Amino acid sequence: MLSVVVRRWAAWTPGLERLDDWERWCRVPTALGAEGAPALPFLPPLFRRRCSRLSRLMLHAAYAACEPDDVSALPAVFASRFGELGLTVSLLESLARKEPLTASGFTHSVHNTQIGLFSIAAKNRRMASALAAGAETFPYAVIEALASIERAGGGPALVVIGDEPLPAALEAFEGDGIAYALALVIARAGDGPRVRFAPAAAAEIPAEPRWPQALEFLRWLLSDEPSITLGASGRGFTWTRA
Amino acid sequence: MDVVGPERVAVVMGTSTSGAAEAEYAIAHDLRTGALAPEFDCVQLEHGGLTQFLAACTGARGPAYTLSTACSSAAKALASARALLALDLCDAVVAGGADSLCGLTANGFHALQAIADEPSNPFSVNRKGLTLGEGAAAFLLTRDAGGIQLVGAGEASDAFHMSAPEPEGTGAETAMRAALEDAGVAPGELSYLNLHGTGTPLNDAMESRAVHKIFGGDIACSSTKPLVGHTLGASGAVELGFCWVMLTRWRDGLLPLLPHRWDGLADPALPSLRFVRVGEQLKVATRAFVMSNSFGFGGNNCALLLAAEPPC
Repeated sequence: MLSVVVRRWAAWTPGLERLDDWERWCRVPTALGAEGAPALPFLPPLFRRRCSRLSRLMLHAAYAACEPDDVSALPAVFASRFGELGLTVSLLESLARKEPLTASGFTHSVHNTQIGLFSIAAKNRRMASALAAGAETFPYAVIEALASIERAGGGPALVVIGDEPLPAALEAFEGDGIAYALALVIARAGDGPRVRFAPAAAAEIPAEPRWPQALEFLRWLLSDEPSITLGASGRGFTWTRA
Repeated sequence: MDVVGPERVAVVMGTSTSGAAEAEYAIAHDLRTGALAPEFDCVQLEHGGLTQFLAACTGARGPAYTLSTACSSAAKALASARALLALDLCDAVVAGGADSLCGLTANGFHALQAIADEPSNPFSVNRKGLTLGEGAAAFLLTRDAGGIQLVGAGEASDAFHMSAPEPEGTGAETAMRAALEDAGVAPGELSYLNLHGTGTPLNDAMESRAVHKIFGGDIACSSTKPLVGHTLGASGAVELGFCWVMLTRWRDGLLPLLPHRWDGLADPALPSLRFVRVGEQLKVATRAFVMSNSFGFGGNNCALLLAAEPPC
């Protein structure tokens, strides 16, 4: 049984930007959008121009979840199931047409694009991980954040989960179909709700979660429900309020 | 798997490419015919796919995730695996990395003007860039005593640039110092350092400065990339694997060192380092410590430290 304290959180999806938007959505969930991106007004224009939509989503949530001094100070885990698949597919299409790749396109297609941009923008020189784990990306991002806290010798860590709809060429495959990011500042102790989680038996795992696991988790965190089981393909975790 | 049970076996792998080679074929097929290659599945391109595949192959049912931080991916996977054991989230971890050659990385590094037109020549005044490789390496990590131990890991970010390292090597230096501190090892106790040593002008310059600041010019060091190429997201595990093999060849107080293959013409603009000659052995009587560096673009740095007891 693992336990974490959620010190702070922030999330962004089109139309739901502030904490009270999310509190309202968590009471009465409505359809989520796929279009749009946060503006990142706190970053220089030249820097913003290099940020893809996924980068904007994840950097916005990261900054919104952190106290001002924390953006440069916390070890961070940025997690995405698909990462920059849209850009990657466009690079692969260029290759198929025998067109040269641009250095900038290649550099910003890697899975650690967002954590790299975040570390530069925030002048954060701590350890930083970029993670992917298929449909189980959310719980393993939290576990890697706990592993980062272990490596850092304690203190809080920032964990950001974000994804966007699959590019047109891959739309036949399973995806969430929405653009979102959730950022959590978690720690082993301190102020905030304490959450325990443990692997769930296959029979307890609901067949089709309605929202991405990260947003199901947020909806549960803001609710009065004592526990929630989230997972996919017979694997998952039960999250319980301590 | 039989000893601890599949629920207590984790899989943590590093990759930068995942199945980009398969996706290249699938996308080209799409442009040619209007449909993706029928055998292609998106999970092949997902970075998480590598670890899902390995977990399915081995039957492991513990935590399973991929870390992808460019060329430090596999080193980070090993650092994370060690933390999972410390947190008692598992009793064994399969950890390492894999990357395959593909058009995406070949053309991408070409666009970055990072690829040499001859075999890489790290730290030479004549160095022109890296040589791409492909490969995989995996370790089985447990809490058991004895054998070769992963005793330290250090990680840090440059916070500098998306494709160029910070010129003074501050992030690299922080990662190496953190690994030494984590292991409780003084710089003078280290027997050998496996350099990241890509052969690009920028990496070798900043790494020379960072290494010299900590160890001076006397530590025996080499880059093994001229032997197998730069295996990118797998390199942290492949090169730690070379260090592991080296430690298993320690006999009669002599540790055979991994050679630095180059033209022997040091860059006078860089602090001088002691590069291992072919066939060189080091007298090591007591515990042996060796370190391996991995630096990913995006400014993601990781150093790992192995320890071994003298062979009986």
